Amino acid sequence: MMPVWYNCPFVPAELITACGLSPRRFDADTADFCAAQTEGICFAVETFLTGLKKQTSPYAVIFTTLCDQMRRAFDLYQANGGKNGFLLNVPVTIGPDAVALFAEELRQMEQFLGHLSDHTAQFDTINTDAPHLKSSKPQKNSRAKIALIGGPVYACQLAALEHSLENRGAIVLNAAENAVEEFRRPLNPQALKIDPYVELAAAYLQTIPSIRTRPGHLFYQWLQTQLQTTAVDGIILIRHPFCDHWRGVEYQLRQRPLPPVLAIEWNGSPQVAALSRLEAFLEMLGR
Amino acid sequence: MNIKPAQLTLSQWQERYAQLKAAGLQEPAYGGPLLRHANQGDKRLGCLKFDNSPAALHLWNFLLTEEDRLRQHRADGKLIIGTMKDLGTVPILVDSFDDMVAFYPDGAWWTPCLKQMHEGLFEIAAQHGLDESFCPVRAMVGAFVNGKHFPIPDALICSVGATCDDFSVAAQRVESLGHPIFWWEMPHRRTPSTTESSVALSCGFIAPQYQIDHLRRQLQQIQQFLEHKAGRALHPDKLRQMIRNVNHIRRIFRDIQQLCFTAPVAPMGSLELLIVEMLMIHFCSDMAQTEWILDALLSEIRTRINNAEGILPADAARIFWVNPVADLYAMNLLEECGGRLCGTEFLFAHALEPIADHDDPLTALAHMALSDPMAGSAFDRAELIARKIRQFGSEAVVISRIPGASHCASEGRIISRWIQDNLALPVIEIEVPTLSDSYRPSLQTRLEALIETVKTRRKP
Repeated sequence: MMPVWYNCPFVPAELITACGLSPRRFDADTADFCAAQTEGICFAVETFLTGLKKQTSPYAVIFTTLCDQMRRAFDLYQANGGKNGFLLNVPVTIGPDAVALFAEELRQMEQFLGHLSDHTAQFDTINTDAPHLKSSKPQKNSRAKIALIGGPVYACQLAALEHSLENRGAIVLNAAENAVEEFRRPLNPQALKIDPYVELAAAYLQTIPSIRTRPGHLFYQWLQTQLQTTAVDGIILIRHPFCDHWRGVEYQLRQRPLPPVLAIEWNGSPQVAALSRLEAFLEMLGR
Repeated sequence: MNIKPAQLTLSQWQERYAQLKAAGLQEPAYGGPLLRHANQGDKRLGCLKFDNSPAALHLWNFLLTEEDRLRQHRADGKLIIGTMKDLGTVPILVDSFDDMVAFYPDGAWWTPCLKQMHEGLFEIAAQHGLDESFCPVRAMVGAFVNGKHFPIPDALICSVGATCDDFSVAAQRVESLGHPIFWWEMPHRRTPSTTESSVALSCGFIAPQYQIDHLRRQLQQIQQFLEHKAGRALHPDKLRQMIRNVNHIRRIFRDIQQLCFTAPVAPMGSLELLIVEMLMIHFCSDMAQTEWILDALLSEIRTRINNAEGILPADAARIFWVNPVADLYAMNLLEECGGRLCGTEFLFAHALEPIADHDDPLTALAHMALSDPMAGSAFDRAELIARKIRQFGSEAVVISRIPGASHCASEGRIISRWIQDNLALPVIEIEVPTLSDSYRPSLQTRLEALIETVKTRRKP
């Protein structure tokens, strides 16, 4: 099965599978970050493009419009001769009109995928369960409970962060961009039969939290609700260089009645300055 | 009084103004000497060179008195509607209501330039989390906080979706300051597949029909929002008439551009052409005066062309300029380096083209909205630029990056390569900060090199 790469939580992996293709969520490695050096281009965007270039067998790729930088990444991909690319328009409002628009976009995406796989989507094969929410391990009381936001936070970053936290802190809520689809509601089997595009659109657009959603307070409301059920001592926000959205969030988080926030601009590997700040943050939390 | 076309400094304009007044110059209510604006804080004017025509005087006075005009509108009982980001579409809907007037708070991005950063808007924006990593539009947040640069609007309407990240974040910050925003969704303009219904748009773009349908619904909701504010329904004939008025003004504007960009000798300076183009977004809160000024400018330009007069040497390099400049002085600098403006793409071509003649005025506006160059791909925009280059006979392209803007780093590279590959024209990319004085040597060197290249290429 041809792999279909994507890096946005709003891409329904179920639809890719239903078209007989293999969804692959992009995860950058440290080397990808080293290649991300272009002034003004978000490192998450550039690592994605770098990672795609390394593919040696045929693949397809779904870009999204969730942010302007990723929207432009599709242009860069095409400008560099990239093939089998599709740009999925993800609305940032979440009302009925936006759902209808997104449903039509998913229909276009399905046609694109169907063209690649040579058959239309088998919607009756879609798993309607809620995404598996990774439960956090029971924590020793001595460890600071951390909520992680920002991102996307790739596995290499997450491992480095967890290593840095050592036995003084633990991530108990991972709401980084590449983890938030876990919070999506389950699909409704009846609604899926009536109109699979609308059901997928509604489930993804209206229940996956995003800082890009407007009005913006919806994200903070969601975060506050999460923090009521998962108590945390502090919030770590990891953002990539040249990402306006997460940079804009930092100030707003501090204006709200939330646990202390540590914002780290992290371009892949743990940096001395970032680690020092993390140390200070844990100390401040009393660990 | 027969005066040769020329460019004057602010102090030279004092003398010129006295001469014009002595000769019986009649001015609208917002008239007066330009120097007063500098004395009131628009210090950057002291670094600029202006066209010496009465029409240009009216243009500058009109531009620099918008805040007074808005306050007068409010005093007259009109509602002030802040339209944000869409650059041209929603004001047409707003201005169709007799008791409403639209303006763009986005325009505050030029305030730090005009005030030579003495007004502190960037500092205020930074205090609210928007530092220099964001584009100069962050000044808008500062203006909402200190309330000194425009009256706080009675309502705000902002497009989101296929827009720049900087603006989306800045607008969200404005809302978090307690200014509710009516958000509407602008889809990314996608190239239609062969199997779906598509529409041709005014800027030469093509889009899927369902995106037009979506935008029509969005505009209908905006209309309902405005009707609720106004306390009365809007008759479609009012909107149709407004579209006809807008198309009339756009026609005058396009005549100005066509004449100026193709005349053997530049009849009007780049700076004035930039300002005229900016008026087209929302007519600087007074459509009738915009039309009057454009008529005056067009008449002046025609006279100059008929007299074979201009303000620059005939061999000035014909430059196509991409993106608006944060520092107005950059337009003067282009001319000092031996160039002239012959084509522009300032990110709102959809506000310049005729609005489609459609029975349903909201559908016509949906077509216009989806023609926004920023809503589509960089390739779409490159092709639009190429069409204009062919129309105006431009000899080289300057892509002016906006500091911090989310689209410039990738878009500039693509447009540059596309133009070089398809038109074989020289292209440079420069970044123009809000105050470019300290960057002047490098900007000048790059512009001069480009212009030298143009002139070398002319040799047989």
